Amino acid sequence: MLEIDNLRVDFHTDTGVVHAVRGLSLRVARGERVGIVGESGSGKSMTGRSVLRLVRPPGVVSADRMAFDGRDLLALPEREMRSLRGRRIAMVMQDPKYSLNPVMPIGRQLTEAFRTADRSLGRAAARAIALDALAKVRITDPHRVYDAYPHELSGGMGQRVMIAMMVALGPDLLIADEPTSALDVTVQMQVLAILDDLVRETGMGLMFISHDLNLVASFCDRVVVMYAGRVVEECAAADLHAARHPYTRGLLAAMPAIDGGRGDLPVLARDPAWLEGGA
Amino acid sequence: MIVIEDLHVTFRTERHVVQAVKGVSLHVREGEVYGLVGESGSGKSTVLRALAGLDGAWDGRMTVAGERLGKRRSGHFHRRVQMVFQDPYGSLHPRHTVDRTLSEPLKIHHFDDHDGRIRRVLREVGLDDSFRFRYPHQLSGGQRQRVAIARAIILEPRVLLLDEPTSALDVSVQAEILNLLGRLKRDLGLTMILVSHNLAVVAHMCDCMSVMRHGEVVEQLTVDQLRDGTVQEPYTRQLLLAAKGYDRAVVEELLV
Repeated sequence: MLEIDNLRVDFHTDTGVVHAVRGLSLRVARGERVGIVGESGSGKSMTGRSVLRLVRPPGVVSADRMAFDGRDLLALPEREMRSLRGRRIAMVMQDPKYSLNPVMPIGRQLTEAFRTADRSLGRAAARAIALDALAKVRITDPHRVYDAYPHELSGGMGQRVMIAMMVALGPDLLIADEPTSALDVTVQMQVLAILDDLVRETGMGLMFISHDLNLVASFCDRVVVMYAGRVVEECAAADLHAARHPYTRGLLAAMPAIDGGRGDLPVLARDPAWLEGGA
Repeated sequence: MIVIEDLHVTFRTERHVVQAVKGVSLHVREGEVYGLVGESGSGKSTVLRALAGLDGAWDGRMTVAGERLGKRRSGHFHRRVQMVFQDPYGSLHPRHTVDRTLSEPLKIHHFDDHDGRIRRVLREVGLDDSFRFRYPHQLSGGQRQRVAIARAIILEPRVLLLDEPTSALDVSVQAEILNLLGRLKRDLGLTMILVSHNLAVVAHMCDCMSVMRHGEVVEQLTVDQLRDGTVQEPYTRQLLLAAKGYDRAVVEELLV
């Protein structure tokens, strides 16, 4: 469904060019959960934003090929790109505080999004869809949340609202950029279960961007490990713990475990060769 | 070393009264690392802040090394009890060099030999002399947290209060900071309270721990009990299961 070949994202600054993504290739199939893991600055978020063409100047995106359902995303006119965003490809970001409009009730934000996506949709119908979407993400009192302002909701609730909004539009591909990092573990599990259902029931493809290796290994089908803008390792999620690349192994070893040893944790010694080596 | 008995913390605004901590008691032995675990809003950081003297609206009894704590803390208290915060971006003054950040507590507490102490403490936290005259924006997140730890230990305290000290850091950097804290515990015999939402970090660092929820202690246990999975309370078990990654069966259990 999504095909990316040799993606590059460069930032031209006064002090030179910063290469945020350096030749990344990636496929996401229908109904597949692909995890992209890496530390801050590895280029994982830029990869997600590139797909929706949300990288702002001075960032420059280029690729040999970046196609969604066979359509060339790089050549698509902005007008058609807008019709893809939200409806076909949706994105959920880390912090609902910055994604929701603070001075508009939740319900209005939802119905506005739905009616923008489908101009023939009436007010009452949009409201019904919104309430239904809120119930689907396991919000127990959808009517209260519908009338609430974002500051009246907890972070977990806000994130569920964002997911409800994206998911009600029925996208074919969801790009989730650290969708659960700001949430408590128990809420995090609930949000993941919602995404899990969607992938299973609607065949939605999921690009799951995260710094949490354990989470990705347990939730996704396939994992792509990024380091300094490149893919250094790609494997089935179940095989992540048998990863071969020294960077991936270093990251895994550096994580404390509940049943692990109490001694010093192995510290990652970065090898300059990782900057050049591919997967 | 640290005794907290029946601690209550209440925040009042015009319209709301929030009881953030409701009758928490705990006991930390000398040289021990004690974990406070819980989700956001559980009151774990509030306990730490009340102990540090950062929140005044508390009731109960708190004692550190035999000294009964009042509403106002003595200079003596602050020399012995120091705190490290979660966000190394927010806790360092952006316009103060590392040198100035580290000399300030020395001035306040009338320490001598500023130059020697700053050199030694930087070495202690694994930063060389070249960092001394840098500003926070010239440091990485891990280096900033090292400076925050240096600022805390430069007064040679006996107690270190750590509020999510690694949750803003990448895992590779987290490992370095946890190793540093482990070394400080061994070399300096510091007593620590570590607040964290990350069970693995607590299991790695601590000896004993309290699990908090809605301002109360749900369960007190040793880390060995946590490792063996011999926990008593369903809530502790939930946290333990959730920490092991995504598992559909576990989620169904959580949703009940």
